[in-house]
Amino acid sequence: MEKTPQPIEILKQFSDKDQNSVNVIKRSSDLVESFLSSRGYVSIDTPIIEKTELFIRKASGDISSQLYTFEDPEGVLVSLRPDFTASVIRSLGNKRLLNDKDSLKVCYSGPVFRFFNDDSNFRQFNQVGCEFFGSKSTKADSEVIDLASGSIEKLGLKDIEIRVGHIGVLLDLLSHFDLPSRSKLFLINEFRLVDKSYGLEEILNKAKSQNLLNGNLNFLNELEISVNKTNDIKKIKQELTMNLEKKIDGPLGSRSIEDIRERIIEKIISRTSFEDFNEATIALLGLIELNGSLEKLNKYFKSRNIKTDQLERLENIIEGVSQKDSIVIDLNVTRNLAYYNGMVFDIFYENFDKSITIGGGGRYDELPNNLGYQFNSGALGFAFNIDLISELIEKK
Amino acid sequence: MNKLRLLLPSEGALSEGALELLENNNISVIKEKSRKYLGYIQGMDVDVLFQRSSDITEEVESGNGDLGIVGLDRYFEYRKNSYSTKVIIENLGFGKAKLVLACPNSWIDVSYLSDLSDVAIQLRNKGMDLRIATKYPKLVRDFLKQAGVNYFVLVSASGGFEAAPILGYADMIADITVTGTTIRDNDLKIIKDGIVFESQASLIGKKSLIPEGLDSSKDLKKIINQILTNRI
Repeated sequence: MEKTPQPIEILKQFSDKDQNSVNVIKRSSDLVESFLSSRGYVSIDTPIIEKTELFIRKASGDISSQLYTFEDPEGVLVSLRPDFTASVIRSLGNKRLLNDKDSLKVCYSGPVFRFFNDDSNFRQFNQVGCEFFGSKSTKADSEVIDLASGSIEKLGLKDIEIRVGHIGVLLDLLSHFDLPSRSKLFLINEFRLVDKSYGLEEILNKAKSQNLLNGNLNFLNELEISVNKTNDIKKIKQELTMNLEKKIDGPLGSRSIEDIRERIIEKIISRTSFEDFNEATIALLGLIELNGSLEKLNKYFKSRNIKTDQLERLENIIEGVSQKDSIVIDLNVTRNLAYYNGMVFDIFYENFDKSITIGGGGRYDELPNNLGYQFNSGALGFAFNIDLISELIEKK
Repeated sequence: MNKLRLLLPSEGALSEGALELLENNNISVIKEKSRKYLGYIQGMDVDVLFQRSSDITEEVESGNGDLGIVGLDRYFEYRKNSYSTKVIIENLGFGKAKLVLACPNSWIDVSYLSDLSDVAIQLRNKGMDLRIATKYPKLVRDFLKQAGVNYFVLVSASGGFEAAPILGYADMIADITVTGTTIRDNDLKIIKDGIVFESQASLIGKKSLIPEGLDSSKDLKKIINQILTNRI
């Protein structure tokens, strides 16, 4: 008797959709895209697969563990897109449409893929969103926030909260402390995780475990070089050049003695003292109680004698938004992507007593440059998880 | 009804360990004289097949075996479809080894993964890649990505590749070590937080054969009997 082979199961954390879901998703998607196009955004589409390099460059590695990556039949390392932004910039950049003369507004919709290593998120979902290139003015930030809340209104969802933060304000605060940029990025990333069980102590421990504090300069003993605050870098360079040649024998791989010397000097220059790091963390944590009030935030900066034009920018952005009811200032919103440099926001839906993030966006002026296109006129945008939104609409 | 097929490693410490373990569980494996790679368990409805340990995961996955004793490192490296097989006992207590990252001793500025991530960026800026020779591309890739090391190229390797950095075809290695001697002998040092995986021998099996509430003790005889009963 012939044996029936075992049927194939669906992949974990993927979903099949029935006609009703398909319709709701399509309708929601169309509603948002046609709203965006009524505001001057033109629709574009890009491939679902791109060279892995594109996405890794964009997120500086942050997203790489969430990427679906494989070799295509020609041996090229490719990934399924985790979002649209990098592809959109690549597409417009390659067509030479990104120039500092014109502004450009585009919107998109389609599936994205992220490997979330948990049971609560689907690994494929549809995104709808837009990108606005060519303005650094706070009016553009206000416009994008308004577009996001306008889209939500079109979809008929109520009980929405848009929490707006600003990376620039955090950087202004941190610029007051003597920290290398790696530590600043670390702190901004950690800041968003802060809650009752994650505070100063936990952040300091994590920084220690990542060797951010004082670096690990023990190997300098072996080279008979001592380092202190007053050391003259020129002198250390000379000592290093002499001692390294003596100490190193054996394979170096792709590195040269010069590479090692350079990196050691970089490490010495950028080391962080525990005191500076500790103070910076405390100052950052101090912001949490002030969330929601621009007035209190202003006082906080003034009392510490820290100048901040970014806080003024945030004020102007909020001032420029026409739908202020659902806006809350929340500096904890930093998003875990290292490339945002200004305003950032998350869109929450209050579902009974649980708040669900259904989308978000922000400003990422440096991103086109990081991806290899000379463009310095400003870039920002937002995206929704349209599957999640459709699910909420269906449940209503 | 076909007999249950148990796959055992055909050579090396893992093979000896597996046979010893079965013996300690009062399971006697009888080798067929005429055919070197076949045997059976006395008094049980079980055939034994001796296979290369690198093949056992795939053989169980593809249905050429029902149970297997294999290093956990190989299982997680070679497993293709997480739905058809499962680890039944992950710590059989022998075949212990670590998969570690090791770099040249001359890299005196490198001790931790955070250093490695700097070095990868430094090489990248020179238009080069950090090349790592390994037989475990999957485990190593996942580990490095989690650790925030983003720019690297894995060079596939076979036997005795600890010398790869000396020979010049890789900058570093990720390899299994028990004592670390071979690594030291080749002018390499282990990255302090660079333990990719801690492995030991494990019992794996086809998921569809494994009954719910399977005995979780390490009594192999009881486990095999439960699986045999469940099958019928």
